[in-house]
Amino acid sequence: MTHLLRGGKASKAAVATDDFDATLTELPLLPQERIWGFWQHSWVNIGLAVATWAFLQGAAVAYYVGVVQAIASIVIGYGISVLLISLAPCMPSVKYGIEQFVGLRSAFGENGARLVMVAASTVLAAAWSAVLAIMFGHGLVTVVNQIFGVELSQAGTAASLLALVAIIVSALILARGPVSVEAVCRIIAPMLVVILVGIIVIVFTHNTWPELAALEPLGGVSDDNHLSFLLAIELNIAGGFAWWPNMGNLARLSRSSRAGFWPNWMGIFGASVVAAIVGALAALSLQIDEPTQWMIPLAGVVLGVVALVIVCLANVTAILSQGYASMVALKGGGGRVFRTAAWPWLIAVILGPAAILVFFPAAVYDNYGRFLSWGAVVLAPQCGVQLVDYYILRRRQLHVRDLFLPPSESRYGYWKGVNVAAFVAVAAGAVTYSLLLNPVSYEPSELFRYTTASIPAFLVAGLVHYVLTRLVVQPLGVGGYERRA
Amino acid sequence: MDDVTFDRELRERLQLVDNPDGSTISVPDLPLKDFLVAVISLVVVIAALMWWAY
Repeated sequence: MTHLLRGGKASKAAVATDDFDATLTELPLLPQERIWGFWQHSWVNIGLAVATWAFLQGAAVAYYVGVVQAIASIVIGYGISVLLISLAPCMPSVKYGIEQFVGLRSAFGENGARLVMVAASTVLAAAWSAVLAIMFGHGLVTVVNQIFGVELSQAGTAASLLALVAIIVSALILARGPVSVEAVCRIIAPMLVVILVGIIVIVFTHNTWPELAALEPLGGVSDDNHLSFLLAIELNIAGGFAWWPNMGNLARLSRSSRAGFWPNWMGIFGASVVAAIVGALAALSLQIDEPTQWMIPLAGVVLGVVALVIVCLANVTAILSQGYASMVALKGGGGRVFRTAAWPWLIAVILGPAAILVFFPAAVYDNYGRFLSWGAVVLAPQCGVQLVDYYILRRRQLHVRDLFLPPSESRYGYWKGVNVAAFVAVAAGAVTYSLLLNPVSYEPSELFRYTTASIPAFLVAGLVHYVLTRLVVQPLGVGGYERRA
Repeated sequence: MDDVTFDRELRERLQLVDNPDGSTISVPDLPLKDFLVAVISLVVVIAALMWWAY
């Protein structure tokens, strides 16, 4: 039931009851519905960032470079992409309390944003959930093997079934909404921090810094150290951009712009960087690239099993945080069918494909680096388009009412709800990326040595969007761009 | 949420957005100082790490 408290000149809605929660819809949020301050947002962010995928990120980086360059590439790569993501989509979502794909309508049009949303919030979310669930399965298989003295395979049916358990548990918790997501993250995140510190202590107890710095990459010493370093940086930029579909909807719940901006640096930058560095240190010191096989060699059977269980639970928190953001996006950008759909059905749409993917681990888990690259091909250009559109072309001003009007009535209607210019810009960025780094073979071009792939893709997309808007879209009087004096 | 409830809620909220008395829904932009602190810190850290890693 919705309560509307009327007082003074304007009606003021206080809208959070048992069966109505505006945070689960694409409605613009009222101040009292923004439930997260700096620390609440930070804990969710940290819970999202510190999961086994950060360990997997560290292991992937360790394939190309040693300890020193791994640390440098992780900080540089995540720093660049987290800065960009914190600016867009986070800031428009915080400023207006709008779901991030609703905000994206100003750049792509209503139907265009829906297309972006479906791709980003269903395909990528399902794939990421599957990656996390598979790692959960791998971890628990290791635990079961240790406790019961059996030899279950991490590639076998048992691991997939355990991954399915992670999906089901996540679905049950998600059904309770964002408050439960925050509560679970607040419990798990501190325990993971303890594990991270523990790994650091153990690694540095058993190795001196010169010994660590001398460790060879898992892929062997390369003849072209510079290229390996750039590939490592690119992996981390892509890893940061992978957060693009989720972060705006989390920031939307923040009470101020600062509370929507800086927690990204606590979480997807700070926590991811630390976790990935710890992952790289563990991978290099053990010369093992599978994160779930690190804990027992590092900490012994008892502590290792306990740590592994906690890491497994952390995968569930990451599925929860991402799942919540994706489902709000689906409600916001999916039209009336999804908006009126019951929450459990939305959970099924997001996690259903993941429940199938866990039985095909080679599709995502075993090709982690390329999987990241497939996402960055479109996510970096999309970020570039949105950032240029919001900050440069619109000077941080959106007309919220028009975001919700049908295309025929909205200033953001473009051409039948699609801004062709924005999609041309994204395509230009994607082509740029592919020319610099083949996302299928992961073969870099000669120019990649100086540019990486994600950054030029971001810049080209932003530039093309700006030029097309100024030369074509704006003169035609569509898109609601204010004419320059 | 059914369409009727959604449309009513949306109408109420958009009235607040359009309210000329003040921005009851939007919050102020991120201060420029915060942006500059983030960018400058990042540039300094990247420069230091590039020097260290080579």
